[in-house]
Amino acid sequence: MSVLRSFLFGLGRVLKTPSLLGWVYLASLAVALPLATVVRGQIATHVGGSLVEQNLRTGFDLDWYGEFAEQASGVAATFGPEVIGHMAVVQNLERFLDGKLLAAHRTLLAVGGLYLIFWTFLVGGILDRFAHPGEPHSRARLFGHSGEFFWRMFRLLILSVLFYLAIFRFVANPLHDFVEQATRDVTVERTIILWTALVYLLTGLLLAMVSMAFDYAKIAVVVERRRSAVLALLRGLGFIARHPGPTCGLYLLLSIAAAMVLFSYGAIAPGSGQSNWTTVLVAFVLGQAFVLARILVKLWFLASQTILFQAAQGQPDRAAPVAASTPLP
Amino acid sequence: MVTRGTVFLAVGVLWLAAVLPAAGQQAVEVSSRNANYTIQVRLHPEAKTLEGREVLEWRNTTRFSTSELWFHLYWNAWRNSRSTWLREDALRTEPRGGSLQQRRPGDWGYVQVEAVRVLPGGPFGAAELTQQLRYESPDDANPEDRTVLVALLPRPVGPGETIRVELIWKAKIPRTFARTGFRGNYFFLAHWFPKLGVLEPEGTWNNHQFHAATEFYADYGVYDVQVTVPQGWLVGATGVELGVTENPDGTATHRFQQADVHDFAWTTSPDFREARRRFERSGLPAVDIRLLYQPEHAGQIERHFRAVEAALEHYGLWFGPYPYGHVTVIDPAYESGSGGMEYPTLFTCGTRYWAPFGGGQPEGVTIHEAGHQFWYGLVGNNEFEHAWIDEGLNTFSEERVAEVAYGQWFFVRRFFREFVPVWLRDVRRSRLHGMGLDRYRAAARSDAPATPTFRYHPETASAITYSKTALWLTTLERMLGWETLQRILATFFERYRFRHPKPEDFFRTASEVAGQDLSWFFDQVFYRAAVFDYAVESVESEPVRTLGYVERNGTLTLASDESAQEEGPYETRVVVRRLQDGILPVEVLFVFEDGERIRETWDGRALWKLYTFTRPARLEYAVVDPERKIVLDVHYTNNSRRLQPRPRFVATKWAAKWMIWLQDFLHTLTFLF
Repeated sequence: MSVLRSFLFGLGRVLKTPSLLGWVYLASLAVALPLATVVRGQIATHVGGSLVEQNLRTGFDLDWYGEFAEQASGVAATFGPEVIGHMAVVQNLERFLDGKLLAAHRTLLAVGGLYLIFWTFLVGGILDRFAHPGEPHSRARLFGHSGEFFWRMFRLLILSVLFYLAIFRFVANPLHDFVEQATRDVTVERTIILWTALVYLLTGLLLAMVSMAFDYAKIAVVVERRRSAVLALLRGLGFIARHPGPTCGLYLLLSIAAAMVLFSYGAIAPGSGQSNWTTVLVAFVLGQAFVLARILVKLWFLASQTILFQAAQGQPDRAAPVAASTPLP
Repeated sequence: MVTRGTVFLAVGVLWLAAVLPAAGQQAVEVSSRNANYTIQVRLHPEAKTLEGREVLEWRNTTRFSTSELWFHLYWNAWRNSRSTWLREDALRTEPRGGSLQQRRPGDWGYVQVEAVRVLPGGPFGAAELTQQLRYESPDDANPEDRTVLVALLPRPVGPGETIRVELIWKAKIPRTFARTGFRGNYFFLAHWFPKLGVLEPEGTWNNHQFHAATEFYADYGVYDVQVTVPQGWLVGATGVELGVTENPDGTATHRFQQADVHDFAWTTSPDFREARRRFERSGLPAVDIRLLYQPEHAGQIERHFRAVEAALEHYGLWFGPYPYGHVTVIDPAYESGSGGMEYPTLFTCGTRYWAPFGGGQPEGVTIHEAGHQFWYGLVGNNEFEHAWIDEGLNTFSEERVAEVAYGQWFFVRRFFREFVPVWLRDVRRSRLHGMGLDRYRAAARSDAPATPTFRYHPETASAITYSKTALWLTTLERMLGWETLQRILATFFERYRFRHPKPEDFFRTASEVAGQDLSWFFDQVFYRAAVFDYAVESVESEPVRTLGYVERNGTLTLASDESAQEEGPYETRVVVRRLQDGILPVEVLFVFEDGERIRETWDGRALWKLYTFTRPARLEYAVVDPERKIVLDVHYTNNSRRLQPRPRFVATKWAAKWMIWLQDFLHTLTFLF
């Protein structure tokens, strides 16, 4: 199957399983809503009966924010002008590309960890759904397979995090330091921007490689019912090595789709000026649509890569029935 | 009062003094001109060294004799890690000098005086002083600090006498620790020569060591400086370039001269590009602006000129004219560490390759440093001890000019190792924000402004020097009105131009011009580290109800049968509170639901005060300091309170945005798996 067909069929497969999108979205809501309530409470308490409310209604008041930030605690300490519109996306992207995702606020990290574990739990069931689109599906089967694959996926998650940290510990950060030292006599910022951009590009490529390898490792765990995380990872790497063109081409197409989602939201993300419930609601709905689009793209990656993986094995859409499958080491 | 005639007279005199004879020697003296330097210096760009010879001609303007000359050797602050500057710098969370462990051998700097001799002239015969040199550490007795050099004279210099001294010295240029040094083939050379301290009127030398939290202090004089650099390199310097001589060895000697200044800085690089503009405004002397910019910032030339012109125009009209007729603006090399600094008739600004217009860079720093030509260059306070005078007045002035000329800057944050600016056009930075209200709030008690600046904690010094001063000047502006404050500043500028004012000079001028004794104000904001925080603690507004006995027809009867009327009248009780030790009189505004407004003035001394009103309508809200005059109030949110709080909407609105950000973070996290 061609790259383009995998790409398009992958989207079709995601769109045919809206419940998956729903489950992941509900999980993100379940994690985010309680924390947002905490933040809301702290803002409400700080604003109280103050007239500063008028400024915050029509825009963002940096003078008020300085006072709020001084006393904010817990997750509310992460609130700031950076959460507005496109800047929110850029800030998270920077965290990701600077290897600081795991250096976030303690509560955020704990909550993010929980969410990641939930995602790890669900991914087995999701991949099973994508690998066997022709078979009957139910919530019980989704969660049954999620549970079945969880510990294998969890071991892969640990490996993935280690790889992520290693990329920054041993490649990205040393390279940034090297650029800084090597350019200490360079007086042209543009030159240093170029070198720094190259480091980011290299980092991005490495992260993409790791992400791709782990995607195929996850797929191998489900499609080939592998038990060993290490062997599954090797299987994923081997698959990419044997099919570099299709795997990288597909990943590139999917990355472009992801970038389009980010840029689209960046272009239309509402600013700070919503001054009535209707506009607040519209801004919120737009934000949620963006979140849904992000989840959709994440699932799209998995679906398309599953199709490509199965096609390369000559078993598109017809993986062996679960009961008949023989677990591989 | 500054009349138009006074202004024109002053402009004329200053123009004659500083512009007509660029050499300065024959000009009408407007400064003391008692510390005059003739310097020849050669740059060795590969070795990163300077070789210099200077002749100092110094006149004792005090009523006391002195048998010593005290010199600053600023670059010895970076001679090794034991200097006072580097010890103090280490107190900062992020030292300006960076990590000393990562410094390479060629990064350190020093200045070594090789010979000092008295030149014959007047009552003095030739004398060798080199053997009588000693280092002093007057501030902290640090025996390893080498930033103050003392030369013992064979004969005292009496009042009114002039001595000429020759110094031969060598210097190793540091990779910039603070403002001066090199990066590649870009050199910015400030505080680079042995420089005389100030003999104060009481006959003592004011010659502090170089400290991490302070800047400089020197007498005014005439500088005649020849700098030798490789041919083809552009040179920017204090003063006017009189000529260039090309030497057979491939170097070129540039001669600069300037009268009535208290310092001399210069810069050179083969990469500089040059642009010129003539500033002309009705009522102000023309100024030739020379911009030396980095090639990659060619697209920002107009933005630089516009900012300089905004400063020259508004400072000139508000405080007094800029008299020198020329100014050199340096756009420093990237990461050279020399940006954002002022020197007489020359200053460095600083921009980035990507600098969105409206975000405040490079305009803000350009206005600030151009403004220092007035507050620092012309009014030459002692920055070791009273840095707030120039930095505080200038921060206040800069923010005011920026607002008048540009409006409010929008919020910009730089991402990806600070290379990529991202901005929110609808989030604006107020003047108070620009003055550093947040920075001040975090450091409000760190030091009393009256403490000599060199004793400020380095980490928080700028919060007091820049921010607190600018903020209390804003309070003065809002209390007295801009016209009065502008007259105060203009009078101060006029009186202390080319002089060394002290804090009391400013306070005296302020009270005199304002026509009222403002010492109570300065007691609060300057002499103490008092913190201001007024708040509306509670508001109540209920139908009038009387329980107990009331007098009716001359007899006391129980009033329990009198029920409150929902349609009024209403009794309103408001408690305002002083939460901190800072005390300033404050206004309290009460607004009722029928639109009635009552304004009261509270002296703010007691810890709290109860206001009670009986009015036909309920209270809507109460505000302490409704015009936000006390901008040093560290928590303005608590200054107002509605009877019916309504934070629900804004809390929901902003929590919803935060939630979207969090969800995006969560999904970014899933990239890990």
